[in-house]
Amino acid sequence: MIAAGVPALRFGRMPRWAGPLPLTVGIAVIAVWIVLALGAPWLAPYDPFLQDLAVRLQPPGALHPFGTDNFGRDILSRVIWSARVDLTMGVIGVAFPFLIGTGIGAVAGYFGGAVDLIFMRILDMVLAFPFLVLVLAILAILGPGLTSFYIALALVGWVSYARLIRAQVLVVKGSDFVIAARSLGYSHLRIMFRHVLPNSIVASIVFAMSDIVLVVLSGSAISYLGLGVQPPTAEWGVMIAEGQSYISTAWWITTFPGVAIVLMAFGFSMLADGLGEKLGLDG
Amino acid sequence: MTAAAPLLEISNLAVRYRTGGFARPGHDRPMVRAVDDVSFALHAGETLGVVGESGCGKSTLARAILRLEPIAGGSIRLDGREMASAQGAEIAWLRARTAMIFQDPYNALNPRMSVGETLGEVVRVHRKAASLENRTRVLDLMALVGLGPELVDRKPRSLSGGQCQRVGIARALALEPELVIADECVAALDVSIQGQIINLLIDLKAKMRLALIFIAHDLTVVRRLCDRVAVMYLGRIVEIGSTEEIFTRPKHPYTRALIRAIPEMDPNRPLFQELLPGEPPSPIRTPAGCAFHPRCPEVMQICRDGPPPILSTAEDRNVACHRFPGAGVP
Repeated sequence: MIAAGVPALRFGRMPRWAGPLPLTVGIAVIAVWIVLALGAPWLAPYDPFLQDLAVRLQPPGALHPFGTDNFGRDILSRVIWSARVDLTMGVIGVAFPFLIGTGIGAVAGYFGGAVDLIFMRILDMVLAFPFLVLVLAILAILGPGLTSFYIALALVGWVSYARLIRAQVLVVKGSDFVIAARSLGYSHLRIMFRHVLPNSIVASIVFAMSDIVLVVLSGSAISYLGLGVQPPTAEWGVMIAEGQSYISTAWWITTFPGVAIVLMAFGFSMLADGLGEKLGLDG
Repeated sequence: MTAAAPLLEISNLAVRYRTGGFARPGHDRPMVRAVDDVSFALHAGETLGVVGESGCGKSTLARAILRLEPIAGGSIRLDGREMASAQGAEIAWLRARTAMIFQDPYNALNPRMSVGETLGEVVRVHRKAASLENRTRVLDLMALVGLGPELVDRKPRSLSGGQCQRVGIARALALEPELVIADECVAALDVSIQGQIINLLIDLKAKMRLALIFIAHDLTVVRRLCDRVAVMYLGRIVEIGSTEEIFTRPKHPYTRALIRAIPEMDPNRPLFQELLPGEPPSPIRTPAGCAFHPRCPEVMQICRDGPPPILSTAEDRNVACHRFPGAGVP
């Protein structure tokens, strides 16, 4: 902690429309990635798969700003095309655990009793294994590939959301406005979707944003291990894996995809922070 | 007044909870008797005040009548229909005729829904207006409780406590209920706002012929609003009667102590009076005999030995006290 007496930094007053600063930064960074991903065919200077052995292992320069790899493929183009794969991976990899976890957590918390008991014991079992170990085990059973990876994530990832939502639902369902909804004779569905969930889901949305980071990183890790995205597809993890044998002679092959992962992670982290601040304060 | 059949008839209603934790071997976990053997009747258009110390079971009684708490025994008859054991469609029938107003005006409203959405939802779910007239109905309701139409899109966060409570009242009235239970609905408000809300309730019950159960610990408020008063102690009604009777001729020693404790703007009144000693005992282990006997200034041997008479629904004026064995007749 800073000693007392140090004057606080002063910022100019933010205009009303501006959200929290992290939110603005996060949205900006993610927007850039989305533009790159959607516009890859036009924005990437070269075909990401085009091999040109004449220009293999070129350091960054005018023709190839990020250099080329051992097959002479343009690193910049491959990094841009990778954004497609990795963004999709992050979103799909989080969407299913989010939906499954929210559903199970909400039902368990709202109805309680035996339903709650059964789901929570299953959750404890999943939780007993380390995340990546369980994902790898499921991948080993299902075989390598992105589909297997999504299934593995859905089977393992839902537990965090279920626990988060359940805890929130337990708090919210005791509040007067939910009792009021019951006393007004609303159906369970209405109470759940109109009254309980909107007031318990914020923490999960925020968590989902930072979870995207985790999914992209573990997706890259899985691809690095050869169990996720298969070469020659351009994906940051695959690129790092392919470039590792050249790391002492051609640093650019692994560095730029690494920086890309960090930047995307940074964007989602900021988005998560800002969203938490914004949704926490706003009704 | 008693000629017509009562709207609500409660007899021997009981709500019990099992306490948490572990039981002694061979024993069940002890029971909390939150509401015990409560009986009273309420007619259409009548207002019954329920008073008593915190923790005496007032709020539990309110929720039990609306079937929001599990019921351990007794009967609740609304319009002659038995509700204590009702299920499914019967509960829906009850819900369409009863509404509740809450103590904490902010917590009682869904923070993510605007005033219009909150009120419109009741109107829509209970089909109180054609869908095209929903908005008009919402604005009518807001006008009824004294809220300007400009507040229709506001969220509870940007309303004052008094405005929130008006929304809560409008939500209860949107149902066009026969019975409204107001649980300490002014306790959390500033005194000036309290007055406005009480006036609003007096207005509305005259206009709509509502039966109202008004739960409070503020006796002056009860005196202004209620036709009859029930005094609760440790989950039981110890005295019931017309407001006039209870305030001018209280019988039960507990009622007398409560009325003595009302603060008054009278400089000549001595500042400290003899108030009740001690705290109410735990409802887990109620004293034998009359539950009030350890604190009663007029305790007799019989009070320690046996419980006082249980009040029945039939009587308008009644006292559960050994000092008044012929209870029922004023």
